[in-house]
Amino acid sequence: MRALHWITGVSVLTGMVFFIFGLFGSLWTALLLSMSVVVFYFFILLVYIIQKSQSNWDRVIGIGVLVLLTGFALRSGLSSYSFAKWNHQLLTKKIRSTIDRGILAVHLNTPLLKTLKTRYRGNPETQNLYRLFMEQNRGQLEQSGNLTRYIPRDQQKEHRDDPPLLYYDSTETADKIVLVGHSGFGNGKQPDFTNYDGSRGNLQYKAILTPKGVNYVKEN
Amino acid sequence: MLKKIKNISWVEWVLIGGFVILLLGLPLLASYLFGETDSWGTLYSPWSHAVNINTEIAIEEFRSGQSPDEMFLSYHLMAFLGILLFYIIGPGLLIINGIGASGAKRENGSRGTFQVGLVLVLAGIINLGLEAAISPTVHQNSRQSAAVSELKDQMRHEMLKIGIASYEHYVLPDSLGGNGGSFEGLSLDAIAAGLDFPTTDYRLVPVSDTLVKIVGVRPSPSPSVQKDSIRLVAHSHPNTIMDWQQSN
Repeated sequence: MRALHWITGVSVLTGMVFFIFGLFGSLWTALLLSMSVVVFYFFILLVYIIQKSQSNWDRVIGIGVLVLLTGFALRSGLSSYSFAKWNHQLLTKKIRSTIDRGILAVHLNTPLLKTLKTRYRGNPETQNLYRLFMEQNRGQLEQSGNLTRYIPRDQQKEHRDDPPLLYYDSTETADKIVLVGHSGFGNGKQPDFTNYDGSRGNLQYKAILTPKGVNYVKEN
Repeated sequence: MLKKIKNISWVEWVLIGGFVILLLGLPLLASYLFGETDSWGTLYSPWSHAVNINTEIAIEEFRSGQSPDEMFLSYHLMAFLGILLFYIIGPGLLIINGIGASGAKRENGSRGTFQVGLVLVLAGIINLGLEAAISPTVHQNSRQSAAVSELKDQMRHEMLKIGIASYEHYVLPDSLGGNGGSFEGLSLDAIAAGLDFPTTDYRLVPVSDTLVKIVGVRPSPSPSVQKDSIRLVAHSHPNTIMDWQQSN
């Protein structure tokens, strides 16, 4: 009966620590704290083994079980924690940034290069880059507050507000088209960089089309 | 404790073995019945459930840029079950009943709970031991596969830069330093001003005046994941800046 009281008490204490910190904090914190309770419990069991064992074999078996379980917990726990942190960083920073860089490179350069191609290779009636850009329906310009959103032609309707977001910068001169695009995941080089729409710390590129070509610049 | 272990009859050993197999087999049975192999396969491992939660949070942050509101109660319950069975109940029943009980009456009373403790400790040592042996290797393999994918992504991005620069050269007239409407004679040296790719061998092969092939080759960073070198091929032509052909 005494064993059951002990086990029930430790189970309730571990459960309280685990669920309070797990559900309202992080599961890793909950695991660390509840395993600290388990370590304390193992220490009490160790003292119990040393004091009450009737033979050396009992000590070896009892201590062996505790050492094995502690070793397994340390090895799996440390490996899993380091893997989980790495995996989170990989998905939210590295892969996200790679995808955003690719989307921005394609969506900012393609319409501008196609416009440039029409100017030099398509025998157009006008040399005005803005008119060529608009007439060929290289995308839609849409007012969004003080800014002009640029929606690429092949952007699917349901994903039009998903980052990275693109903007047409109308403050530039007529024979110059400027498109700016930025991510929405805080994955820029400078965390305090102010992005085109006022958000902060996001990856941002700018593509400037002039009759001399496209200048593609990383701004953050 | 050794005395109690020696007193276990062969019928009881068969039952203990059966319960250990049943306990270890439950996750496999559940994954067969419910199909969610990722969650059930590591039912008793608290660490695996923490990794699963981290992955779900990362996927949501990757998709929307924000952490999910979800509490992941099922993962919490499964993680706690592992701690409860294999770190608290199992060792407690085995050690306290195995060492502490004395006298015939107490010994008979603790016999059943001692054997339950033995079942849980044996199942725990097998299950958690296997996880401790396998999971670092699995994590290492995942890292190596990700390193290969990351390099491929980096190469694709650099080839995209080359494709964009080639296309610009194709479009621009000779007077502006371009190639005047042809890919013929285009070389990486001519277009790669400002592009510096020290680790990969990129080649620009003009196939005709309207088609250029871009090839990227670099050694695999992890021969155990990808034996051969990484090779990516794309075409650029007047209608499409980058037309990806093949990769390995």
